[in-house]
Amino acid sequence: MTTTLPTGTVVGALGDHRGGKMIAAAPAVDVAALYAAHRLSLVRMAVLLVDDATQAEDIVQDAFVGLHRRLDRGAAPESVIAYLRTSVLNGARSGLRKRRTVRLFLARAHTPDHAPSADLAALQAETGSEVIAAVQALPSRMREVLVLRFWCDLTERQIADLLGISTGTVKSTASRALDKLESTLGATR
Amino acid sequence: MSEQNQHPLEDRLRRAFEARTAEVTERHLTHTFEDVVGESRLQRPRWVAPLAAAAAIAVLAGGIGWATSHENRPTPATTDPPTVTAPTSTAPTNTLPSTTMPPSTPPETSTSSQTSTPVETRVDVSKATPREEPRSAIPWEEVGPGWAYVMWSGPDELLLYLVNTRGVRYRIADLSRGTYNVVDVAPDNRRVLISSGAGGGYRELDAVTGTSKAVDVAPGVGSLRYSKPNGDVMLGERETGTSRYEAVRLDDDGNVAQVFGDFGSLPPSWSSSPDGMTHVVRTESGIQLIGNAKGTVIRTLVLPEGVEASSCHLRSWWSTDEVQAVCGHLATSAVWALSTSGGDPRLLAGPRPGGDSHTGTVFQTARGDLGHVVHEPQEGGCGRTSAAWLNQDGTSGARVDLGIHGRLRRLAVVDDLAFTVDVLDCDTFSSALRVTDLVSGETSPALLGAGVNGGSISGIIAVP
Repeated sequence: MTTTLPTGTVVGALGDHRGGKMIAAAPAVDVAALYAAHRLSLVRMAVLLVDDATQAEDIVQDAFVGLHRRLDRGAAPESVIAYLRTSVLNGARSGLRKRRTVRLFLARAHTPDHAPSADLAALQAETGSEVIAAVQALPSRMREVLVLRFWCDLTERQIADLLGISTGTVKSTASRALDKLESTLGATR
Repeated sequence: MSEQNQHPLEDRLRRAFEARTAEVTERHLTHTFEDVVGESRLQRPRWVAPLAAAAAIAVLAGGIGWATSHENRPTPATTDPPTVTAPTSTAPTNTLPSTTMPPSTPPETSTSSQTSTPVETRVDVSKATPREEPRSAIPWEEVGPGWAYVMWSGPDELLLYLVNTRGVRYRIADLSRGTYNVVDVAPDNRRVLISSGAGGGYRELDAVTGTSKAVDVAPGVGSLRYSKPNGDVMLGERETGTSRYEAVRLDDDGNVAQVFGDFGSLPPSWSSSPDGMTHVVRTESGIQLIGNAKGTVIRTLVLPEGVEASSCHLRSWWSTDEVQAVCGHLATSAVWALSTSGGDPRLLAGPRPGGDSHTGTVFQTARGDLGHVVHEPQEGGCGRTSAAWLNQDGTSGARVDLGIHGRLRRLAVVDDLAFTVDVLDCDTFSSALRVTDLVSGETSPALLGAGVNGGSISGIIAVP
């Protein structure tokens, strides 16, 4: 595999993932180059959605696996990057849903029978910023809109297309999300 | 929200997003494109990443048995072996056998020139009984092949266990509230390198005492692993520009003591010789043998005709002067032994019939036999996952059922034992650890995770 992006492929035309460009895929999709070019930004997007780097990487990997399978079947998506973003959004939703279910189950089923080992306090120091924590507490749709708007820098139209909702819904969802964040963060000051 | 009228919180939100995502850089990512392709061809089994952990984890690449038998090598010299002019002749094409080899049973003799020490005291893994014991009860003189460090997470816990094929799990450390994963185990089997998936920090755990200390690392350096043969220093990769990396050796303070390979724009792929004195590195100028002491290029390895270095993914060392590599894309991928002494490459396994890739599927046993993982999807279910011996023509030999109930997520092979982590029902985060004896064909019951103590298993390193 080479990360030198071949000219004339869909990757070369997509530009930076955060630029929000969505164009139709050229017939020859170089998945390897696509992977090299967009993996990191997609993982970062997924991290904002699930707040877990390992899970984020798995979600992005699944997205590329899906793309690879689809291309194998000769069914190239109209917009490759939009396809990947949608896959990441779906993967994040699914992952969060399962994580909640598993945690609820395990919280009932599993009772630790050992005290924590000593001398590892240094490993337990890290906590997320209050803004990120507040974003994580939002409903999935609100969180997705905020990430797509303020990290991916997509337009309301692009977000609407990606989520399958109207631009009006995007606008109102983002507005409510920001108000809710402001309320949450204000309360913690 | 309006695209014209800015909400007072927007700037703060953007800054928070930038800060959070900046914690995740290329060097924190563990999956490679080869993993993706391999998974696609294999109905989504997952592999422990070669970049961050291959040398450490003994995943697929094998070679651990060989490394184990060479532990008492001298420390690296202060000078590199002499430089040799890169070969100018074209390597002859290695043609595939003209006839299909019959399915084989596990060979009785090694197919490589390496020597290894099989497990002397075999445990009937099918009789393993999961139970937990304290760290203080670990019989350290027995820790070796047949043991594995496993990262397990519950609803509010992240724990590192040392597990053996008898089913005993020893709790090594509580890493709760962190996002740490296991990266490498030192050749003494008692020090474990862990890293934060997001923050990038490294710590070294003393598995005997359960204590840990920070590993100092210069800015821009990641993908750490222990040096061979003693694990006395750290090796890693340094970011030199956007998506450009070089292989480095660190001093005790975490500063770069020596650069021994420039990957250029290629994803890092390299493998250290068991004695630690040389490294084979994939560069933009070809696959090069480079000295550890001064980073001198000793020679450029001869590749199979028509094969580009960029298509080769380096694995473990195959013999004293050969390194194993998977070269080619998808249907053309083949497993090669590349000579580090200037000789021609040898074909170990040709392209898979049907176009499946070797990438991400091959492992090597203590005997030097090549095996690979085969997944057979079943209607309405997850399918059957087996380990199969790999013939030189790329076909599969005898198969051993890995006892996977869901889909394979992690695999670590050491000697003739395959530790597997499968995810139940193909699509949940609940997972279980098992071990399969590739010689007897027996598989243990769940040793950790689902069916034992619940939770999920995120990382595993087999003890060499």
